[in-house]
Amino acid sequence: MLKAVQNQLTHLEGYLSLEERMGCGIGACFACVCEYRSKKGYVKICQDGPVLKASEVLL
Amino acid sequence: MNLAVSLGELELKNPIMPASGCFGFGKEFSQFYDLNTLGAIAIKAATGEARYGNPTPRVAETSSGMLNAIGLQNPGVDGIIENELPF
Repeated sequence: MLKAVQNQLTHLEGYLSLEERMGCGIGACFACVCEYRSKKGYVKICQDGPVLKASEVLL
Repeated sequence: MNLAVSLGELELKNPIMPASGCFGFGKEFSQFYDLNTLGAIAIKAATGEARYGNPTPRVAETSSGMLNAIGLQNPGVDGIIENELPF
């Protein structure tokens, strides 16, 4: 469903609130990552999110 | 009370050392307590090349604990030396 919303936001700035299984919740364990386009790598949903730019996250 | 121990060639002022993998590179936990009270810290696994790690989900709950397979995500030895060790 988040992907469907993301596809609707191609010409608008939007943000998605994400959830992921977490380990520590504070950014130390790297369990809750999500791919982020501009970083060419991962961001942590607990620390960098949970609200992230819709245009950046790769779901 | 003297808690000093030796670990191989290392002399630690106490035997308290958080588990690697649960501690990142130290920065996150420093907001909760002074890391200098620890005997040592064990940073996340470091590999020669940077690794992305496994796709998510990376943790799973079990009836008496949890499993995790982060996949050794780390910025590589050079990235760690440059960006993480100074802290």
